[in-house]
Amino acid sequence: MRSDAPATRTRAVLAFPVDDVWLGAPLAEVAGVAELTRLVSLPGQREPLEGVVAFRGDVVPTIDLAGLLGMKPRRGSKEQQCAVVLARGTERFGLLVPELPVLLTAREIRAGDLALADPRLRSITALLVESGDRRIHCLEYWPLIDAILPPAEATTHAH
Amino acid sequence: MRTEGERVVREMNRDSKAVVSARRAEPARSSWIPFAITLGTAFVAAAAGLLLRGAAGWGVAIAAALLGSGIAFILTKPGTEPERRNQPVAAPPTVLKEREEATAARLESERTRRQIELATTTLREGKDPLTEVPELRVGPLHGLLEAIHSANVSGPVISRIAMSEEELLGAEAGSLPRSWPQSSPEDAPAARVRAAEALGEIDVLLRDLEALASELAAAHTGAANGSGLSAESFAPAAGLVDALVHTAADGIEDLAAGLMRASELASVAEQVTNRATLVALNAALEATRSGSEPFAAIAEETRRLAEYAREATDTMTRLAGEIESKVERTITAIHADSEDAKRALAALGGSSGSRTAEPAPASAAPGADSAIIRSLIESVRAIRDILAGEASSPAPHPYEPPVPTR
Repeated sequence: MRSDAPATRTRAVLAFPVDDVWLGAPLAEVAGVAELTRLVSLPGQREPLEGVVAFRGDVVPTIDLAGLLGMKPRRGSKEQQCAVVLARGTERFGLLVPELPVLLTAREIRAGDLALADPRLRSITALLVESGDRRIHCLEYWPLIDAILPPAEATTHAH
Repeated sequence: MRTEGERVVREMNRDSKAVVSARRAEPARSSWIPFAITLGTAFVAAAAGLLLRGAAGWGVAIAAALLGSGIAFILTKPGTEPERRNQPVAAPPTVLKEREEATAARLESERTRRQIELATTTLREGKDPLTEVPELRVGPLHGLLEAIHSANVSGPVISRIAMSEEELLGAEAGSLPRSWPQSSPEDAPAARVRAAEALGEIDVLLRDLEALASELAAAHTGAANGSGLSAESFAPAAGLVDALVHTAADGIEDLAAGLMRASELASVAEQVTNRATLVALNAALEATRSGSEPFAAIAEETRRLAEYAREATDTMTRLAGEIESKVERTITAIHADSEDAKRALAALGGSSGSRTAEPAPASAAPGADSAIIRSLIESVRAIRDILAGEASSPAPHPYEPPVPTR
């Protein structure tokens, strides 16, 4: 998905707060939401990798999005933390979010001006939508994830 | 002391005198005026007949006769209905006065008898009549009861009765009805019988008072000797307090453990609620993704169910927390009370001499009570002696005091 894709083409956005900004993911990129109780740490894992989470029979690596973006993690209760599972083809990747996300349908959102995006996130923001007084930044997550955990073929080539 | 009965008697006397004097004056006034008017009109008619001739003379004579008759009729006709009601009964004034005085005296004697019964009943119950029965604070018995109350029976008490009796009978005691007790030789045995009965009741009262004094003295001696809580009995009592406190504390701690379990269950319920919320969110995601209305409806129902579960879980968690904090406070209070009870027991044990502690303040109360009871016994004995002398000597009048004051 490209950053100039209009918001009207998006059926819905899954929004969640991180630090003092609202982030979001278009519904097309979201596979679902997983409980954090199913998060299992891995031996020798490095930040921002938090571990793996079980999601519909798959083992999904999960990262701390706030840590990755250099933001302070919002202090939600342990029970409210969850993982937003992103999908790219058959690939799954989890983003650890402090609160349960909010599903905003197309009727509840409108396209926003990218120039109004948070300066810290402007370079990686693919889509900016607004809902009420909330400004939701839909980031280009996969390049970030690829930078942390390269795809399997890339790893194979490296070896 | 001026009683209500005396006031009633005085007012009735005054009213009866006014009625009798009014009745005596009425016939004298109404007898000569019509006669004088009739005589005057007759003279006028005769003069008119002599001076005027013909019809004029007859007319003046008839008019004068009619005028005189009318005036005489008006003056001699019976009074109106209210006036007739105000007329005194057709009884001699002396009889009327006697009846009124007898009625007042009977009322007063009945009231005095009721006060005596009340005072006797209250004294038998071991209570103070002056404080228990407000009616006795006014009346001929007030002086006697006040003397008993202050434990100072003396001559003025008896003279007080005499004065009240004299005031009750009034200066015209000779006009009392025959039913009123008069001093006669036939009444002396009955008076002695009544005095003996009163003596018997006072003896019963004395015995009760002495028994009460003995019990109080025994209790006071026991408390002073530590027999109420001796050193030997202190240890079991303290152990009993300990056992009671431990039983209560164990029960509440069990309850607290149950509450902890309930809190765990509330936590599980919260987890279930979180999972339900997550399921509802995922259902909404899939419903939006697919655009299926039935799926959307199911997702909406799931969301509502999750919200309901959230509310219930929040309420349960809040209540469990409140109960837990209350139980903790109760446990703390029980332990604190246990320590207080032990200290109080130690203080009581110390008052028995085996421990060093401040004396129990309640130990002084029985001594004070005993002194009051002893004083009361002395007063009742004095009354009894007076009554005993009264019963042994011939009494001309059952209510006459032994030493008249005036």
